[in-house]
Formats: sequence, C-alpha cells, structure tokens
Amino acid sequence: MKDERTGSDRTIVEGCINKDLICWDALISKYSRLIYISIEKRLKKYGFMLPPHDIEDIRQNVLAAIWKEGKLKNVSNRDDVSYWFSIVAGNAAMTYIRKPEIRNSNKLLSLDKRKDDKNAYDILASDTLGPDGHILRDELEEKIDKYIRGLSSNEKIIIKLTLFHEKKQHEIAEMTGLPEGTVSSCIKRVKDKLKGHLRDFK
Amino acid sequence: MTITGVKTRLHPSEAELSDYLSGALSGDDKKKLEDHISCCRECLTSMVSAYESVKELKKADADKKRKGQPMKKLNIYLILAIVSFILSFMVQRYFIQFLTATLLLGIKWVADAKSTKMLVMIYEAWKNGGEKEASRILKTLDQNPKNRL
Repeated sequence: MKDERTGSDRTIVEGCINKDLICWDALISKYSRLIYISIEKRLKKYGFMLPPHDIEDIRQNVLAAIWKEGKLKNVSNRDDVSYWFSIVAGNAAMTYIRKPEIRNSNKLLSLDKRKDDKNAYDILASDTLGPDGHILRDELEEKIDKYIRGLSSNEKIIIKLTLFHEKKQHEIAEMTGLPEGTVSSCIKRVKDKLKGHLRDFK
Repeated sequence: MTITGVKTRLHPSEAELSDYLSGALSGDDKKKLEDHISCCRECLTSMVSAYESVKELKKADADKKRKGQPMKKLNIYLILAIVSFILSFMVQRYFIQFLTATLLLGIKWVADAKSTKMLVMIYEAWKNGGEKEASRILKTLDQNPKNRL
C-alpha cells in the first residue's frame, strides 16, 4: 500500500521539514532527475557544459544543502515544488562554475568553442552569454532594451521571452499567467514597432 | 527589485520566482517581481531555464508512461471481415467467395476475442472439474482486473 506521507508534494515537503526519512526518499526519487536536467539546462543557457560527474556533484550538494539547511522551510507554495527545485539547482550550477578551482580547470567547456581562448570566468564576469556567437545577441538585447524602455513590465517580459528565449505564445501565457490573446496582440504590436529599428540585424 | 525601471541588485528569492511560475503569486508581489524580471536578464534566464526543465521532465515522463501502455491490439480479423462483406456486394462475380471469407474471418474474430477465450476456459474447467473448478477459475479471473470483461 502507498504511504500517505509520500503522496502529494505538500506532504512530502512537510515530512522533509520534520526530517522524515521516508519523505526524504520520496523527494529524492521524485526530484533527483529534475535537479540534474535543471543543472544541465542552466549551464547550456550560458553556453557551458560540465562532465556528468561534476553535474552529479552539484546535484548531491543541492540535496545535501536542502536537507542540512532546511531550505524547504522557505518554500511558500508547497503544492508544487518542481519549479523551486529547478531554480535552486540552476543557481547551484552557476555558483559551482564561479568557483576558482572550476574556472581555472579545463572542466568547464564552452558549447560554442570547446577550447576558447577566454577564461570561463571572464565570460561570466562580463555577464555575456558565452563566447563569440552570443556577443551579437547582447548588442541586439541592448538595442531592443533601448526601444522597449517605455513599455510596461509585462510587455517587456513578453518581448524578451519571444526574441531572446524563442518562446511560443502559449508558453509565454503559461509562464506569465496572461491570456494567450493578450500575449499575441502584445507581440504583434511591439514587433511592428521594432521592425524599423532592427533592420541592421536582419 | 526595480524602481521606475532601474534595476537594483536585490534579486527575488527562489521561492518568489517559483511562485510566479506556478501562478501562486498575485497582487503587489507579482507586480514587483514582474518589474524586476523585465529588467534582469539573470532572473529571466533562471525562470526560463526552470520552466524548460520542468516541461522536459513532464514530457519525458508522459512518453515513458505512453510506452509502458502498449496500444490496444487492432482487431485485424474484424476489419478484414467487414471489408470482405462490403466487397461481396461490390464484386458480384465473387459474391460467394467473399461471403465465405467474411464468415471465416468472423469466426476467427469471435474465437480470438478475449471474452470467448475466457468462456472456453471456464467451459473446459467445468467439464473437467465440475462447478468447483469453474468457480475457482472465475475467482482467479476476477482477482486480476486486466482479465475483467
């Protein structure tokens, strides 16, 4: 029979806060894979990758920190903790690659150019998304930022998700909680406005 | 957070970002967070990355679940029987042949059906061991939900 303590996210999280080992096992089996995927994805977003055993190290560190530091107490929406785990794992990945021993080793590989002349830390410190190919994107982002300054926060988010993260309308609606129609009309309106300004980048 | 579009160094917490994604944030808190992520590339990237990871995992789980449940076997004999029956009217010259084929395929479909197989099993058990054996078979079948008719 299924243990009641390992049913919903809420019972698992609350069990883990109370240091219940059965709940902890349930949490690990439910979120271990998500943590791994999130680490890989976040690194990829910045144009980097790590060997599998390093990703495994980060995953272990994330889980250890959650258990030891009781990080789950900070989670307000305990009915769905998948996004929280993913964000925590992603942040842990970024912290890991900023460590001097990692940034000075050759473990950290650039996806664009595996043996890049630049040190990975220099790239991160300059807040670029990665080598060469991403620089143009930064310039473009700056230019777009200039033209969307007058827009509302929601409109800015919609445009950035469309242009820089290539998100579809239904995905943006899902992420922002806005109706798909609002997202669609916003994209059309702002894209028309931007068309003239961004001709150089076509 | 932001003050009139100017990005400050204070990033929202992991819990706030995840609440925003799961739709649990509302009112002023939501507005403040939107003001921040609209200007902070790092937070927006973190949010997008989390959204994509969760989506990827859900998709992988759904695929796994779908693969675990094999598609219901298409009953080829029934389809062929129907086709043959229709053809018997369309091709008058081979009416008898198609009708015979329809009959044979129909018998095969009936014999192949799970319910018929079970009936045969119960009949065999009744013939060999009487009512006691038949009820034992029925009980066994009833315990396994997959065998229910």
